[in-house]
Amino acid sequence: MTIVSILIPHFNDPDGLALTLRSVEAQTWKGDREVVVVDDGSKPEVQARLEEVVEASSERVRLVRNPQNRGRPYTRNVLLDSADGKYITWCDAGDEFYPEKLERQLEGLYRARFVGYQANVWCICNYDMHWANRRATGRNQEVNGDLLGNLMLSTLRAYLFTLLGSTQSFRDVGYFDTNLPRLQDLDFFIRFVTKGGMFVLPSTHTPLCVYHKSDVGKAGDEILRCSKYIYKKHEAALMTHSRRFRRNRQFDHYMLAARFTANNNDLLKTIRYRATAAFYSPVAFSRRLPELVRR
Amino acid sequence: MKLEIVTGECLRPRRLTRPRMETIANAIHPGAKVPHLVWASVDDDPYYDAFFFADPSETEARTALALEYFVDAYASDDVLCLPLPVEPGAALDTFVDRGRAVLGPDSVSCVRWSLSANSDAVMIALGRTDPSSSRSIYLDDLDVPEDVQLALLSNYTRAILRLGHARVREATIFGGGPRAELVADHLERNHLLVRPDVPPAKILSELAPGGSLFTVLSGPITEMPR
Repeated sequence: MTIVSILIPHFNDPDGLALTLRSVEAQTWKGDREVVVVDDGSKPEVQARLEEVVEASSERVRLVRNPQNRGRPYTRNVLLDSADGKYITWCDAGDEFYPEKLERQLEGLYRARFVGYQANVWCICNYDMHWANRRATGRNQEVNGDLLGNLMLSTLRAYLFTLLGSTQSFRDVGYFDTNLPRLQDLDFFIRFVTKGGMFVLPSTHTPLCVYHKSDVGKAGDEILRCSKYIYKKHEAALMTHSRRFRRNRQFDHYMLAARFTANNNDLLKTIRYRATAAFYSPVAFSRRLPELVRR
Repeated sequence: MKLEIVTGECLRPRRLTRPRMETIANAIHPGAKVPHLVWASVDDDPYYDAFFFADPSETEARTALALEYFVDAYASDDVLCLPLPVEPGAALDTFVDRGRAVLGPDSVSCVRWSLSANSDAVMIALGRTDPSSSRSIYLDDLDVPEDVQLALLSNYTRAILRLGHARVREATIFGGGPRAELVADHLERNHLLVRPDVPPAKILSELAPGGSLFTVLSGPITEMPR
């Protein structure tokens, strides 16, 4: 019986996939597991290397192929449908689990059941954020209090690879929204929370996985459109928060888009987005100004 | 997966640490693991009596949860040693039955860890319940560290006093009430232990009215607790 399905979307990055698979192989948890890789229509010249990486792995890897590039949310839906395990965890090709991740998170899920959690529960872990050419820094996840607020404030980051949960709990949320080429995981988390989902942390606060992050090639316009779409989609839930809180989230949308355009050297759009952010929240912008100038 | 449930008086009340328990488990079954149930206890205790000493209405759910966890967390060829310092009885039988239902009829066995064949005979002579329900393994054949030996001997001494108290009731050196525990605490404070080589007949005679524990201890006793 497969206990854990490790779901990996892949697109044109076989070496990243090899890195991810090595981190899966190093897990201290040795129970029955499968790795499902869905290749989202990678270039033909990558296919041979992809197969080589899959065959070289000591893990039980199932490779599924999208006939053409369909985007991340569609690929994640294929993964969700393909999982045979009792539990699911995710990892994008190029990111890594630390060795104790699955062991600690499985314990976390059992602790939740032991103390009587009845609702759908995901065990979420702290993680390292590793920007290209910088040192990895630990990020903590805030799982107490107003979960929707935490998600919108990013004190609880909607990263799928920080999760372990029952397969049913993921399927209960539904499919990933294919209108969201970016931030579909944030939408997924919000839907989980609004359906009464809860998060628990494992018994350790040390990061259990690392996100190798880069904004290069990611369009700020697309991020902005997606964050606005999510805001609109969940407006009813967000109306439970203050007007100031909601205005500050508009500020966040533009600052996030500006970060992407800045990292892709699009100066004009960066200025435009930052100016719009300043319009929504001059106070928050003035607080961020020294940091922006320093960069 | 094989699950070996370990019982025995020498496991409590002084509890062995996880590394010590793992050492003993490994000496008996090379490669055996003492499963981590850190989610069920606060201090990484290797014992699993949280499943037995809970509210009885919760025992069934907790047992089911533990067994499900073993299946989820360990490989199918693992041998797990599960220390459950409880007396044979309905709760243990239920655990074993459920274990067999989940893991397979031949996958669960019960073993009693004793210090030696002599200590096992003493316990049986003193009326330990149902000695035939599980096979015994003697720890004096193993290379057990000194601190572990002392802990096990201390537990053995207390088990003798408890069983002796239950056996002879009021007409004994113990008097009434919790006297056995007081005596055991006193002996432990003074580093006095019942010698593991004292035969059952001698222990029985010294616990009977008119007997004296002094002759079976590891050292002279200067005073008894009041």
